[in-house]
Amino acid sequence: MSFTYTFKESLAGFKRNRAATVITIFTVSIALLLLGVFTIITINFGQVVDQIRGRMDVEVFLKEGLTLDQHRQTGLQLKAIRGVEDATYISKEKAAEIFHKEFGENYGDMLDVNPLPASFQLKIHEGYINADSIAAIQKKALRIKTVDDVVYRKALLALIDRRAQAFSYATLFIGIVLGLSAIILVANTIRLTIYAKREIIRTMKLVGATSMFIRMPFVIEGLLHGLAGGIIASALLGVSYAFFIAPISEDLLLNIPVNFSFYLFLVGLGALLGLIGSVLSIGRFLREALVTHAYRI
Amino acid sequence: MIEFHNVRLSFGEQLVLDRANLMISEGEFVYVIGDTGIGKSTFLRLIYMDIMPTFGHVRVGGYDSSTVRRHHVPYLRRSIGVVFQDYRLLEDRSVAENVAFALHVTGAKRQMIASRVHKALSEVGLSSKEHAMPADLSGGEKQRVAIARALVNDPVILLADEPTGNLDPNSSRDILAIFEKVNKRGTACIIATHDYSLLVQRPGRVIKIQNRNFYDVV
Repeated sequence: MSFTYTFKESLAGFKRNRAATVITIFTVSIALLLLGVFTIITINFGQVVDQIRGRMDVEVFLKEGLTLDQHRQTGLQLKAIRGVEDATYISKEKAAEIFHKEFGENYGDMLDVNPLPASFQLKIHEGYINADSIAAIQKKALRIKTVDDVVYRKALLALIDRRAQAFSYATLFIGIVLGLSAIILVANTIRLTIYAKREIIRTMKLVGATSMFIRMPFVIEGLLHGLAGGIIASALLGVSYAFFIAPISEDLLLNIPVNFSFYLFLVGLGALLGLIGSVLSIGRFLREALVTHAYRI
Repeated sequence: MIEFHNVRLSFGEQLVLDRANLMISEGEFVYVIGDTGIGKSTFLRLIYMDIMPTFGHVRVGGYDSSTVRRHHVPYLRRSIGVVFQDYRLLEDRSVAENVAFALHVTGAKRQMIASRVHKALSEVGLSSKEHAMPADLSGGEKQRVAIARALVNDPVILLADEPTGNLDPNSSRDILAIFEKVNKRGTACIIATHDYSLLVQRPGRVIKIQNRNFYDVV
């Protein structure tokens, strides 16, 4: 099969179906642009959520009357719990210091003994900062005989989890809808091209063209639709980013991942969606376009 | 070379051929006649395996309709040239491009395409119209382009479906003369027609399709 000939035929398809091609590329580029924007929002939302989760403190309060060695042993046991990255020891004296710093008052002014318990502040592994994992850590920590109580902001964590999950589903749904729209658009345009070229296809079959030879120009045409849509979407995103988002991104404390790889991803995604659209369309409509001739005696 | 063995063909409830048998040898010049709608075009389509028999089998060269795989059919068609009454030219391509098209689909090299297109066009007397567009040609010229396209792959069989149906008597004579020349080279020509004047101009074997079967007309 001559690649040059196939490629030329694909480009000819662009020209023959100019209006449909322009509309498809434009709409695919809008769909990809929206996909790009949603991806950025999703990544940023994920980062914000991670930041909030990163600040999630899990405090383990120890019982009164333990020796320093028991405190040290408890620290080791806590560190051994799966999901705990580190355990920072806060002695009764250190706790009093913190209390004084935060509230400006000294327990000695009111009480004879230091009522603040010694504790450990747990640092949790990134993958374990969610309601279920922290609840499991809490359960395990409470099983240690020297531990009095384990405290964390349970309600806030559950809320973050719920919101993050809902947001993930929403963005996934929107992403699927946009992706499918792009595929359907390309498939429809390829279908129009197939109908417009059905006589050529029939002649191709007559003179001995293989199925692959007939299909390839349509596959490439669909791929080019997606590729062009991806390039336009990247350009639009680049312009929007440079003029509207970049100047305010620092104020919004956003880390927007718009770089060359992201543009490349968008172009690649466009090509992939175009390819899927054309392959789906060819299988179905090429047969339909030819079947209309088959029953003529 | 072409063999129809107990062929039955139906489209839904409409029976076109019923236990039809036929043999066509290499290099024969054959006319296929019969009433309109009797199945002449269908007969040709069975030969280039555009449709397959409902029962029985058609054998063309080494290809048998009952065993051939779909992806092998294009290779059979490269050894068969087909010409239609309505020419089936690609209107957006020049004469040379229309003829070259049959070679492009086989993946032929560019240099070879140029020389074979030139040869095919000179064989049908259209060398001077290489760059003309189909819209600028007469009916007879369009049919000659279609024949050049059918011949460019050096087929062993040339099928023609009412090739003179849209032509005046002079053009019909020219077309028949081309078929005769091609046949002399050893290519079997099978012409479906209801223009019986052709049979007088260039006698050949005549097969009549009647009562869902083939009959040799002596």
